[in-house]
Amino acid sequence: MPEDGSEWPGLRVALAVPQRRDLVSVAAASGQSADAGYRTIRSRDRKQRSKLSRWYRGNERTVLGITGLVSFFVLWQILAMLGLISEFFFSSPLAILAAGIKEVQNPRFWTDVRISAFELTMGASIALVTAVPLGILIGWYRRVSFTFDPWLNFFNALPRIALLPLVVLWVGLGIQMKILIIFLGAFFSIIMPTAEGVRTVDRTYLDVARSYGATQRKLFTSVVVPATVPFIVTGIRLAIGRALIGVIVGEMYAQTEGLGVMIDKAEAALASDRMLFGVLIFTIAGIITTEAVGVIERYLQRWRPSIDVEEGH
Amino acid sequence: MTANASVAGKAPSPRRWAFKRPSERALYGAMGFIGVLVLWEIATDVGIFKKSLMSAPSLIVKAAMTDFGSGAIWPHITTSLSEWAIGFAIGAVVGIPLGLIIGWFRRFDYFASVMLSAIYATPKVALAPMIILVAGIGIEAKVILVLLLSIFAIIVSTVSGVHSVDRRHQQIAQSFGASKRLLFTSVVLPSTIPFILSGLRIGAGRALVGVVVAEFLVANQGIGWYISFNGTMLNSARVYLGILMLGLFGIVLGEMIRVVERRFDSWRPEIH
Repeated sequence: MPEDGSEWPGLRVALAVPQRRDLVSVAAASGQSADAGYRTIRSRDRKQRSKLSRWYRGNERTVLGITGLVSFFVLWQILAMLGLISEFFFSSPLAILAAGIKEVQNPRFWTDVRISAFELTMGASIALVTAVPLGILIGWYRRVSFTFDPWLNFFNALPRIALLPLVVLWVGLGIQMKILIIFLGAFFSIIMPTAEGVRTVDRTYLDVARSYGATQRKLFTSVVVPATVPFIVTGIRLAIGRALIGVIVGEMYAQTEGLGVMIDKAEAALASDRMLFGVLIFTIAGIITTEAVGVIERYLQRWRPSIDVEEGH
Repeated sequence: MTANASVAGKAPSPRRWAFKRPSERALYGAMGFIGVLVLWEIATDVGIFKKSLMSAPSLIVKAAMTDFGSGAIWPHITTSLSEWAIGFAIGAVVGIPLGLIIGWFRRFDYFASVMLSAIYATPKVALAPMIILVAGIGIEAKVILVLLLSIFAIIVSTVSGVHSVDRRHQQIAQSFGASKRLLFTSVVLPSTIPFILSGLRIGAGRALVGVVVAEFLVANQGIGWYISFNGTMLNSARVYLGILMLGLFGIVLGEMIRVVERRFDSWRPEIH
């Protein structure tokens, strides 16, 4: 089964060494082709290349990646300056930069950032500490799993953001509402892979541990939990996206405070530069959290089975 | 103890729950499903839950009968469905070829990768106010948001599919003198299909998020609007009804794509 396609490898991988399986890139980047014989014919002798060309070939991925990003912004700027892209609607990189510089000097902006960050942290961490134990419970006890499966599958297939009006009915428009909708978004994204991880623990390991007289507790701490960690990490990665949607839509819906409101208000004031600066903050938040999860994951384990988990919405 | 039962089994299976127990699964599943509904109904009846906020299963059924009976709900369903279908279809038609191109041409891949991961990390719903400003409050704005939400999942999954084509298969094809074109159509494309399908499954779900969010923010029709409007009217039974329909649609959609996925999995040999 393919790995979940939603798992974009992230910036680090995008910028890093050629992929192992990428035949062409390996052959070209190393300049030699002992590995893929038939390529030799085409590749030139190493000595013939200039230093610059060799450096380029070694760092092609990084160079082209950054070029791509830069040319995207340059093109946008030029088209906006030529008037081919309406600056009124889509702004331009320099205008966004200028708006950003002005915005970071505004104390209200920092209040918004603080509030959004607080909601996100609260919602996501409550989801994490509840979903992981419950997921392990559901994955371990077959009958518990069977009992809750219909509801879990329902909520996993549901775009959880649809629960927003309901959450507003329950707890009003305050900060609890936003924390709750973020929690709901993240919770099911974590609990489903966690349960799946426990379910797919290799039986051989369990049998071995039991034969050596492992207690139930030992079995959990030394077999089940370590084997489930990659699944939990996958869940957290999916949950980040859900949680961010919760922050934005929750705030836009409530119209009280936070970065979502800032975006909405900026657009209503026809300040598309300020609005896109707000979006950029969310992009940065998404990248930082995803990368942080990647760092934690690499710290926790180097190995990793191929996972195909159900992604919720 | 569940685990003891599995130890007693003959051949060791890598999965703990090797035994298929459809009857047990169905029994407990039905118990869980009905149990929650019954508890919910009782809790509302005796007043633990407020009727206006929590509603009750019986009230939801009543609301469903009223709205389906009068046909009042159909315009909402068709509106949402067409927004979803158009956006998702464009996403698939554009996203799959784009993913194949990015995955196939190495330099193009490098060129696009950083940009793509940045866009992928951006919560596209944040662009909703801008889309509404540019495209207006009609169906176009919703289609654009649905498209934006679904297309990147499709592209990313397709790219990773092309990347994970087994090198040996490519080498064999090339050794036998396959042209680039034949290599693409007979090796790369078939082994990418499972990835494309999982991209479509994820994209379909994201598209549904787009429909709901767009209708929350600006609409006068559609299931998202139906949920939101009835929420402000304190008509909670209809809120639950709308959520129920979205969830059921999500389940049906997921199952449909999974059926196709399983079909393609059955002929696909284990690669490693």
